[in-house]
Amino acid sequence: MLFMWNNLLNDIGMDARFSRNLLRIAAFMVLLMALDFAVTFMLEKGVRRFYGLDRQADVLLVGHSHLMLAVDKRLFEEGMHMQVAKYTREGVNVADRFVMLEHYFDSRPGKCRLIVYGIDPWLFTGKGLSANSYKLFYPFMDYSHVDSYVRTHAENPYDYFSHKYFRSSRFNSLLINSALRGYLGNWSNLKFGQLDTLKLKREIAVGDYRRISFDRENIDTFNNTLPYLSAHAQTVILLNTPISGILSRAVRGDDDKVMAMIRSMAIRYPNVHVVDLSPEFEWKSECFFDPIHMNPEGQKRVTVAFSAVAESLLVRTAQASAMAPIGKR
Amino acid sequence: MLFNSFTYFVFLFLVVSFYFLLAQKWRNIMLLMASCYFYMYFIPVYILILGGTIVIDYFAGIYLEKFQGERRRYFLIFSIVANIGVLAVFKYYNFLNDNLSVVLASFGYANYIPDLGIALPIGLSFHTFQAMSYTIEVYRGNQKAEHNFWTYALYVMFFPQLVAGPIERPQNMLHQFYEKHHFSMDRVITAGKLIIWGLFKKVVIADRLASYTDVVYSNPHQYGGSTLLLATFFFAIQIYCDFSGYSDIAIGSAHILGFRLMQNFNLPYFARSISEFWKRWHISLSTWFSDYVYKPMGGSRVPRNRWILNIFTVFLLSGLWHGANWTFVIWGALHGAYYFFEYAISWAGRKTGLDKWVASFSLWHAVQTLYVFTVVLIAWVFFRANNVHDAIYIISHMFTDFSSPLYTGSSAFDTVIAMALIVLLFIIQLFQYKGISSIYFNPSKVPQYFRWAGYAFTIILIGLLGVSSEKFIYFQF
Repeated sequence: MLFMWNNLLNDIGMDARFSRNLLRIAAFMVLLMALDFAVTFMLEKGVRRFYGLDRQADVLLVGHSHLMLAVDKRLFEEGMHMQVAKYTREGVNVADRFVMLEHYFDSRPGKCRLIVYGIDPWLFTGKGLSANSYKLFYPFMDYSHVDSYVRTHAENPYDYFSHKYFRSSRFNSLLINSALRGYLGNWSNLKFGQLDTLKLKREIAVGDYRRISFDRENIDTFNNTLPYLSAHAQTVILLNTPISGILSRAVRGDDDKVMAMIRSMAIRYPNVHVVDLSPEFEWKSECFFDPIHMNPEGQKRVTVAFSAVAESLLVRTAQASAMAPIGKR
Repeated sequence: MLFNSFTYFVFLFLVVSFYFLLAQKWRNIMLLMASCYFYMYFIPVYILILGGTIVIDYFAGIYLEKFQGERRRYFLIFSIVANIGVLAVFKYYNFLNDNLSVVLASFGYANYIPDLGIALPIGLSFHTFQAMSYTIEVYRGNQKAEHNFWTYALYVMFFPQLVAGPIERPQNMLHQFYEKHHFSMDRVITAGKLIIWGLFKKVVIADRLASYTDVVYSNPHQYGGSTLLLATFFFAIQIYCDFSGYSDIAIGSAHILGFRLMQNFNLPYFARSISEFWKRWHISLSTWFSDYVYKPMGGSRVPRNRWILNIFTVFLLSGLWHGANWTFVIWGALHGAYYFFEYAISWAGRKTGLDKWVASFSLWHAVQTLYVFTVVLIAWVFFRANNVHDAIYIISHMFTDFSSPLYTGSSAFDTVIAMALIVLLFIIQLFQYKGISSIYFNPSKVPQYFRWAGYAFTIILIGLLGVSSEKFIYFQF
């Protein structure tokens, strides 16, 4: 006979410590799950603090690393005298940002006074951002929108279920860092250094830069994001954060086309405004860490400039709202 | 199939389940089939090479036993030539051809012999050495020839140690395939602990350090002394965690099935001399060279000049075994030089009585350990560098050029975590060295609840800080 079930059953029967060991394993699994839950509970709490998901905010910032390094949360809060949640993640595409919005409003229902949504000339470009960006959402798999997003994009069932049930695997060193910074209340821009313009010019001369493209899926997703944004805030700002003039010159034309498309989509929503800070800063190389990210000094200057624009927009919106017939408010 | 992949653990679970469910007579066949599948997961066609050497060594073993006198020697030579021949073609051909080109070019001639554009079969050096140990032991009469072809094939192909060792001896391994192994939950638990510890060393420490060392060593001329020193230090820890992690998972996997593989590492960075280092590092390889090269050459029972030649031969061959590059040869030669330096120092110490005097200092042990680690560190530069030129640049700058800023890695936080993990590893290994916490299957003095919390914490760290998809360094050998 090929299979001898009795073999295994006899072995188990003869193993005097089998039951005891089975109990030990069960007890260990309970300990492991408890530790897993405790560690990830603490980490998630820190991460939520870092992204401002732990309390109701007046202003919500959503975007990727451009916005992350362009607007200083503390300075913006001081300038606006409002509570700011800065929910920005490296490498998130338009679909990811929509999930971030859903996630935020899942955990913090209600309207914001202002949502700042980061835009850039590569908003509709599919290439260049990570195809695995859904992995950024592992820590928040307990929220239904995020969970279904991860389940849809997971490479295979193991990818999904291992992160669903082994909670520690949802985190990585980057998120541990964010959690620590959340507890310490540290939102500083740590990208010290200055853009090497000569190197950038050389790279552009040999065509080593990210091209702009227009992917239908991204355009549609952005189009679907706008009504969601409009419905969840009194005022929405689509903020084009600065990029280096050397790079923007290389993508000129396509760059203008993207901004024109965004404006034409936004115009349908009276509370949605496009703010383009790039022209004001694009030739101030000392403000950049690299062609698309601000250094701490640049971040400070951009935040001051943006605070002024945002404040005036909020005042204008409030005035318009006050002047509107009661039924339209 | 990588040991640090989910696929491997599914594979292991299935193999263990089938192994204990099957009747005894089918178990080895099932293990052999599983081992073939495991090997073919990498590059399937290379199983033909492995199969070829298995057939040759199987018949060589039988004829070695059958015949007497001089004819036995021919069978042994035939087996060794076949094994070394496979190694020479797949591993050393391009190296020899490149060096031939250099020599011919110095005389003004061109070398028209083309290089072989083929990938090195995974674990080739490991299984050819294991196969050679079989024919040599049969020749010596220490091991009876294995007449069951499938059992012999399983001895060479047993999946836990197929691609990166430990390089087993037939006396330790072959008889185990005839033993009836009973399922034991105790074994599952002890093996599980070892596998978790191996995984931790591999995916949490080694792969994390790799992200730093790979960047620096790919272009060392861009970095200053502090960065080169840190990268080399990281590599020393990386290669230890990578290889010993692999060995732990291999030994643990075999242990669940009831097989006992030899210990391959025993806290090598706590060694107090180079000779002790080699008794603690890659033990299965160093004992292989000792048993099959050093001792047959006469070992230490020969005139001094001959003994020096014996030692150097072993270290140079050990270097070449690791890779077909002059960097590996120099790495081996450096260890040989360290060995003689230590020998000379200890001889002088004994003559002058200084050895007893320095040994009375309480910190002497730590100084010796630090010395061994430092010289091993310097040798690792040759092991890791892409070429001799890079290695010389790194060594000449890593202790001097501290003016350039330290490269903190793609993420400074990751580098800080890497350092914290090294400190954690050191503390755990210090406890192991002192005999407080267990190493391999030895008992531990740590209270059970602390141990449990430690294992749970290790698993959490694997989840939090594990870096996936890095291959094991020793697979390339």
